[in-house]
Amino acid sequence: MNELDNKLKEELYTNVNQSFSHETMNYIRERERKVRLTILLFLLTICSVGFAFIPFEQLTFDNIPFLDFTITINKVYVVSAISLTLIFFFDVLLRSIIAPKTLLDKY
Amino acid sequence: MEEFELIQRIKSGEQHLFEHLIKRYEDYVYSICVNSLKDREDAKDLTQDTFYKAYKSIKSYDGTKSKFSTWIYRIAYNKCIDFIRKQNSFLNYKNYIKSKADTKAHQVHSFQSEIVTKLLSKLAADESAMITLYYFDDMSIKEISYITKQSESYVKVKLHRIRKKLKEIAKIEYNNEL
Repeated sequence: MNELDNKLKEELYTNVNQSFSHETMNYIRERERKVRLTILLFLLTICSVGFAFIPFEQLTFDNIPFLDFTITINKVYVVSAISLTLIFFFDVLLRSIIAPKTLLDKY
Repeated sequence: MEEFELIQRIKSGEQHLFEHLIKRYEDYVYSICVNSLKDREDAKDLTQDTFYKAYKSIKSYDGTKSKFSTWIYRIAYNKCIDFIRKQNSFLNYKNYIKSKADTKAHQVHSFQSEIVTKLLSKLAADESAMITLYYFDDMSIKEISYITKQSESYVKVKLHRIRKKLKEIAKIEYNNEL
């Protein structure tokens, strides 16, 4: 039995190749990136679908004090601005959930 | 760098240091996976998955409850069991092992390796994992029971039975050589 024990002790231990830790870190980063991209695509889809339901074609700002002209912003620009704000907001939020105590905590 | 300090630094945002933890435990985690699954490629994937899971949930690791090694072995053990369960939903575990043993990926390097491979192929995944933990890392019964979520007495009995089973198989198959 002792001989069998020794054989098992020697043979059950298996080495991985030297670059394994580096490969694993890349794998982790890649998966994190995929999660963020999925969320990004999800938000973009919501924004695209929501676009059709926006109840105005353009925003018009007139009677602005000290300005004699009217500012008109097309729906596309309004939606783009809202979408980008949402994406940045959720990106920051998710980063802080996924990896809390990052730079924000240090300063 | 001390392990405790390393984990604290990873927790406080220096995620790149996680690579040092991988370096420290990659062989052990890989050994558990390869001995349970009997396939090097699947084991490699599962080892990476184990480290990913550890990376994601390192915040929840409590150093006062268990050693980091025990904690990560527990993740690896659960991953292996889940993997085998998934395989079982498609094909019988023994067939899976047989198919893996036949592939070139699971190469036998020496006569000793052949013995161990043959012995392990007769064990279920949880038994292989348990015997691996017991042999290669001087792990206590308490730690193994924490990893496998079984009582200490169950682990003791189970290990005794597995070793007895291995002894019998070894006697039958390699009576002259051992």
